[in-house]
Parts: sequence; structure tokens; C-alpha cells
Amino acid sequence: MDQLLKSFTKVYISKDAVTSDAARRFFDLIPHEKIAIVSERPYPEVQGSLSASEYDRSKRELFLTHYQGQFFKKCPGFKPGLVCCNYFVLNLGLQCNMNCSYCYLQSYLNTPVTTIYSNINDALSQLELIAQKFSAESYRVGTGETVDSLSLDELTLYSRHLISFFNRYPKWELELKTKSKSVDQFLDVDHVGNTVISWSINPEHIISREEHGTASLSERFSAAQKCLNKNFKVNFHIDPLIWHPEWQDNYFELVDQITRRFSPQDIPHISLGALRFQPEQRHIMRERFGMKSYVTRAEVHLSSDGKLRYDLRLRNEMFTAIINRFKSQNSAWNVIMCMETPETWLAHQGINPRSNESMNPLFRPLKGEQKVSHHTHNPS
Amino acid sequence: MLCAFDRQEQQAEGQVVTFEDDLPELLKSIYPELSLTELALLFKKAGDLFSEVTKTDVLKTYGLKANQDLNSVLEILPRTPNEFQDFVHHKKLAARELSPLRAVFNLAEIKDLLISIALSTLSKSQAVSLLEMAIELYLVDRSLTKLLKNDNESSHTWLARISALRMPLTKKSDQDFALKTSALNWPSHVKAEWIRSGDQSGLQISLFATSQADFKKKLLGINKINDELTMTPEKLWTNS
Repeated sequence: MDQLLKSFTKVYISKDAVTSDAARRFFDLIPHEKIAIVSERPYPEVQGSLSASEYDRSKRELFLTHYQGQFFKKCPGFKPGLVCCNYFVLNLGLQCNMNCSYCYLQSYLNTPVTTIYSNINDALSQLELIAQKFSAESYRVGTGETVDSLSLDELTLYSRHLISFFNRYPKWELELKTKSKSVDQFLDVDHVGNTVISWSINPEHIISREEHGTASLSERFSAAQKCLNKNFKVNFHIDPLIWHPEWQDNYFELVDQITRRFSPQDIPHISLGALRFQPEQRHIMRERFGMKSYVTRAEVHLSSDGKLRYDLRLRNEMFTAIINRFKSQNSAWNVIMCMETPETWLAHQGINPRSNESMNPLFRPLKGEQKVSHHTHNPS
Repeated sequence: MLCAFDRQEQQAEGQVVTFEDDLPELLKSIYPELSLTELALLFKKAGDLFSEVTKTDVLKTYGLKANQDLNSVLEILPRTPNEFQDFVHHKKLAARELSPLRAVFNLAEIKDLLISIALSTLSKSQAVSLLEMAIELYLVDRSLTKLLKNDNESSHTWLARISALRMPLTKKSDQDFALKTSALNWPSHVKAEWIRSGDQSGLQISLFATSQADFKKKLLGINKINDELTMTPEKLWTNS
């Protein structure tokens, strides 16, 4: 916690958020000389995409504010050109206090400060409207699209609210996705087994070079074990796969570490995704991380979905090698590909996941999709 | 009235008339178009005339949105060699196409590279691509030794060489597949090439047939190769 608090040089709390539970906690935990009460978002002159220096600053300054928009939206993987699981995202803030070289927020964010929304209860009310309507469906909801689900959670304790809320909708599933080790703050919360804690993982070699400020691999594994001990579900996303000269040795070692510490029953799904980013993102990555990074030096090409990706053959080679490594240890390991193009699925598995029965629970079309879209997207 | 574009400080000094209230409109009426180079020089040589707000309005008048990245490029451009400034002006380069320059700490170190690009016979998109790849390679070890254009080298050979240096794995893989493709016994007047299309590479065949019989003959020839590749796919389809 101390390290987390030290990482912010300034904390702004908007007037409309001052009486929130989160603000009270901020006042308790953060030295008051760091806190400023403001009537508007800091740096109002900064509009549109951020420069490298503005982006760096945005990681050091925190803004707690009341959010008036829609907290809910569909997973970005759910669009033409990509194959992805049906998924909703609940955005409770913007920006991440960790600093991965490949992070897609670099081409996505236009807010000059790390933002946390203070009105979690409004988010839950919006969720409630949909949950009541579709309580019999098995929807999945994640909070890790525009923030890490847990890296700031010791400050906000939002996980406790979310887990309790999902107890009322046992068919729904909550996914908290993280690269942190912050789990102690919710382990005592009663739950009905529908909360999944997911870790994005990579070999330690990649973590130390590309995932700055994140928990080490062993810390992530230890946190995962704590969650398993409390009967939370745990998933691993080996994402993004990053090519480097020793990629095979390092990813095989990662697979071996997983299979030594966990069983296929412990980890129901392991997903794989290869490095991808928007073309314009390469400029800010180059400025922020130089050319020593495996990501900025990557040989990437324009893919059918408009993102830069490794050559399709190379991606398939990496997916195949890693899946085979898992299967060679135990055929029960369930390894899937996420955020990949149909060509990759067809080349690798010979199937499109939407037409595969065993994948149906993950990839089936949402019932009432139009209605949900209508109610959950801000018309503006 | 406004003479900042010839890049001669002594001529520009003292010859600029201030129209602060409607300067953007005045500029636009005199110069309906200003390139990035011209705007950069204008702000450098007559910078005192422009408040941040006016500068933003001027940029907006010329269809540009002021932000730190654009400001950074406008600040960098006057420090590049004149040949490169002219190149940016004549080719009408956009700020995003000059983004790689923002990552260079010491522009003087890549002066020769910028001049070579400016004087090359490459198209705009090829030159922009070479600029980015060469700067990325320079940033790896801060050396231009292998990056500058050789005297006996055409601009296109230079571009291919830099591309191979920046994408060595892709280049090798594509070359290997191209060799395998050419080693197969294709019928006459059937052109078989291994080509890259974005993140995929594959076989492209075109054929010229003069009659139904000729067409059938060529298809049979292609089918024969297909039979061969079915038995021994490593002759083409794997990159081992």
C-alpha cells in the first residue's frame, strides 16, 4: 500500500466526490498535502490524444470524480474481424498505475490523470437493471478494460462491493483481471463461486523487461493460490505473447511453472493472445520505452482488423508450441485463444469457435443482445 | 507583408506586421495553404507575435489541431537540414509522418540521414517508411554506419536494405518461401510468386491461357504441383 500511495505525486478529488466512501478512504490514507479539492478535471486544456510526457504524468496523478455516463459496454473483442468471447465490461476508472510497454491504453486514453469513479453505487444500479432483466442468463462482466481491476483496489475496496453484488446473481460471473498481487482486501468476503480472479501472466523475463511496476510472476502465482484457497475461481491469460529470441524456452518454462503449481481443475481456462496494437500507438511507445523494448522492436504487420500483429505463421507457431506444451503435461488443460483473427483459429484449430459446441458457453451469441445494447450504451 | 518563409533571419526581422485580432484569417487570406515547414518557420521566426491562443487558432485555420505532439514536430522541423525542410514542404508531409523525429534526442546525429532521404527518388510513402525504419534502427545503437545510403546504391535498393535490417525475420522467411516457390516446376506462362499481404504471406498464381485446351493444360500442370505438395508439403508450405 505504501508503494502504491508513493506512486502518486498529486491526488485530486472533485467536489461532487468529496462525500463518497472512496474519498473518505483517500483522506484517511493519503497525506493531505498531496490532496487538492477541485471543481473540474485537472488540465482542462489537454484535449484529445496525450503526448508521451502527458501520458507519463497521467500515471502519477490521481483524480477521484463522480461519473455520469454509462459504466457498461461490450468487450472490444466483439466486433467484425475478431473472434472473442461474449463479455461485458464495467468501467470504474481510466488509466493504470502500472506501466506495460505494450499497453493499449497508450492509444486509447485522452484523460490527463488517472481517474477513479467515486459513484460505485451508480455503477451497481446500472448493473442491477440489466441483471434483473437477464438474471437467468450466464453473462460475464469484467472490470479490467480501462483500469487494472485490482491494482488500485486497496485504495477503493471496490472489489468487495462487486463480489457482494454478484452473490445476488449466481448465474452471472464477475472477472477481476489484474497484474497485481492485491487480493488480501477481499479474501474475507463471502461469495457464491461466481467471481473469477484472472491474472495476465508472462515469463519473468518479459515481466521484468516490459511490464514495469507490476507484480512478479511468483507474486501473481502466490496471490492466485490465496484466491484458490478461498474458493475463488482463477484464470490465467498468457497475453500478450511477445516474441524474443528465447521465446520458446521462456514460455515453456512458464507453462511448466503453471503445471507444477496448479492443476487443470484449479485453472479452468487459460487464454492466449499475441502482441497487437493500433498502428498509431507505435509512436508513443517508441518515445516512452525507446528501442530496447521487445515490443517497439517487434516485427509487426497490418492485420485484417487494422491492428499491427506478428506474422500469422509466427503467431500460429507460438500458439501451437504453447498449447502442445500444456497438453503434453496433461490433456485436461483447456487453452483457448482470445483477441485473435478467424484466420488464426482456422489455421490452428481448424474451427471457428462460434461453430464449436464445446466453446458455446464462451462464444455463443448473447440472447436479447439488441435490448441489452440499447439499454447499456449511451446514445450520445 | 509576412516574409518568414525564406529561412533568412535577417530578412524576416522587422518586416512582420502585427494583426493580432484576426491574424489567423489574415494569414489564411494571404497564404491559403501553408505547409508544416512553413508553419514551423513562421512560429520560429515570428514566435513573439503569437500567443498560445493565436497559435492554436492559426493551426486550426490550416486544419491542424494543436497539441503537444504537433508543437513538438513544429519545434523540431526548423532544426532539420534545409534539404529535409524542403522535402517536407514539397511532399506535404503531415505531423504524424514525422513522429519518429520526436524520439531522436540529438537531431544533429542524423543530419546526413535526413539529407539522403530528402534527396532520394523515393515516393512520399516510401520515404516516410524509410525515415521511420532508419530512425528506429539508429535508436537501437545510435549508429548510422549501416543506415546511410551507399554511393553506388539506388534509392530503392537502399529502402530494401533498410527494410531487411528492420524486419530480418520477416525478410528471411519471405525469401525462403520465395525460393521454394521458384524451385517448383510451374507450367510455362504460369507466374507463381510468394507475396506478403500485411500479417500474412502466401502463394499467388497468375496464368495466361490462349484457349480452353491451353487453360486445361496449365491447370493440370498446377494440379500436378498440388499433388507433389500434398505428398511433401515441406517443399512449400512450412518454413523449416
